[in-house]
Amino acid sequence: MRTREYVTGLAAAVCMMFAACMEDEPFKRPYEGLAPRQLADDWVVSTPEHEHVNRQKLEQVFQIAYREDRFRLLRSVTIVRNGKLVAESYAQDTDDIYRIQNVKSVTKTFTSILTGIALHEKILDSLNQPLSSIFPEYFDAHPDKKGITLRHALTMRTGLYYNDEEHAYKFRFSNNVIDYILASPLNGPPGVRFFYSDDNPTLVSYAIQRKYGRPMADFANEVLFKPLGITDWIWESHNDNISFGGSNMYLKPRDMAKVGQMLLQNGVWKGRRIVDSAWIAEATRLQVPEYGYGYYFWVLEALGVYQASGHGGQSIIVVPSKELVVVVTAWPYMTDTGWLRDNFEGTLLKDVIAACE
Amino acid sequence: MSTSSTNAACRALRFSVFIALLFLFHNTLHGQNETDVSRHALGYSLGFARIKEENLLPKVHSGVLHALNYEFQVQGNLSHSVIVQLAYGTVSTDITRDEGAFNARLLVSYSPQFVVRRAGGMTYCMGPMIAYSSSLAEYQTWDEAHAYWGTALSLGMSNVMSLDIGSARDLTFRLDCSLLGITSRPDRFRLYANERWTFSNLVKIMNSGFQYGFTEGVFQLATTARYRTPLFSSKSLTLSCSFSYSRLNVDGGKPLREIVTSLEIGLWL
Repeated sequence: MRTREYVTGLAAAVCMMFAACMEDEPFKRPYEGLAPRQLADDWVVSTPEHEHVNRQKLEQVFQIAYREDRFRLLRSVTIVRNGKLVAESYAQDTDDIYRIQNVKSVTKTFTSILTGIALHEKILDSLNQPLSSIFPEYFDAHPDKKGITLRHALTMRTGLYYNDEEHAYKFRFSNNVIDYILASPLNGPPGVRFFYSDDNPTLVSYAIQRKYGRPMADFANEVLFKPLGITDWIWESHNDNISFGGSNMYLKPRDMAKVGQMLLQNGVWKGRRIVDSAWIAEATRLQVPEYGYGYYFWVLEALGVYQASGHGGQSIIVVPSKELVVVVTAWPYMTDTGWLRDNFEGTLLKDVIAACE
Repeated sequence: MSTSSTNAACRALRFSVFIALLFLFHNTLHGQNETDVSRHALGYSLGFARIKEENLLPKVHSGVLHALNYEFQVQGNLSHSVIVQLAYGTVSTDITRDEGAFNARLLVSYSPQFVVRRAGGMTYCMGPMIAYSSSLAEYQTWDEAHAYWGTALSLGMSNVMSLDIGSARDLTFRLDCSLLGITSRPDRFRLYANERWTFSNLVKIMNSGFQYGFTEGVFQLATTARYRTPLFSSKSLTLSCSFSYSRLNVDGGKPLREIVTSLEIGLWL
């Protein structure tokens, strides 16, 4: 019996030992301040005081974002004022400063920027150009969709039915994604009903690809990423080598901030024009007022803000009146969309804007 | 360790495992005495799992696992034990919404055991063990797009102590421990948006990118206490209580830790 008791006791002790070493841990690191790190990149680091930002108010914003559960999957907050980095923090891992991550639907805004560049460079003719004039062969089987224009696609008003839950997976792995998109039924005639989807920007992506001759990601590299000094990026493609138009681009937070700053500077970066200022003005103006939407930009008129916004809590927020750019990243794959818009943009953004004197 | 040396180590380990298996099964087929007894056992176990997938989030998922177990034993001076376990369950955290996460797992192990000590009604056997284990999870709340897995082909030791408690009943205590092997884990930061959820792709990714490691890569421990009593004819009923701990990790990643505590009812055929 002594042996049996010994073995049982040993087993119980082992169980307790291993159970004890598997405890919940906090989502975030302890808050260690908002001072940006000096890296050998294009950013000039400054302080809130030098850029007339109330440090105390800004600290409060960061502390709330670190402390409160609704921001549990926050990864980074980057604040740029007057073209300089004034605050930056990486809540989960300080090495996230070097990591690219999926920016989800922020990608749509990049598609918009690239459309503006393609129009300016006469790669695309006009927003009223029917997509059926760019890739007519796809419309032979879908004649009811021949009236869809670039403008309809840029305002999510193609009328094409889309349901993320039943659609996203097949869409991702389709071998003929344009045909897959166009095979969706119409909710109504093109140009009428707003229906947010990943389909519409992928039609734009393919339009650029057809006219440019290479995937939109290559176009982005030539006309956007290289001029901005963005070297570490990924833009995923569908199986048929068409760049996703609406999601699945990977960037670092500081590079997202570069794009925001370039937009704030009306399309100019380091003295070089990247995007036509008229396009930025048009794309960030309310095109679908009832949904606060421009051309793949969300427009928060009450705050004087426009933004790129992605699932999980990815944002590039531009506040022209305050010379302010705010970039937020979070874990991008969470099902719960509670983060989006109602949290950072709905509450803390107001405090950040208020901190700018 | 460089990728090429890791691959070479993996190939060497796989080859040595293959040779060891050939040798051991050869002995199984040809080295047994006529007095050796072989038995099959089937069982169902209900377990409670605690899973911490640190590549995803620093929280522990827990929930109930259902498992079907099969065991084949040949008992003699050199005993052999083959265990196959298939388990499925759902796990969640206290802050998980929706339906939580599913977890499916497979374990196949083989162990030849030598009698080390036999005294009175007690028999203590030990021997090497090779185990293949694979655990797959989808954490729908936290990551709607990717699969999370931990697969290990490991080598270790198996220890079995049997106590004859009379009237053809016995108590068996088993302790298995894996200390080295090759491990497959997903990348911590995946630069693709969606997993392809097909059976063939899952099998492929769960058995790819193996890295060789000692205890820092693979550490698995399983204990079982089993009570066996005759049922009818030559059949026996078994009641078991098990505990297992697994920690798998690869370079550049964070570990997958799993603890499963289970109760099993089984039938020795």
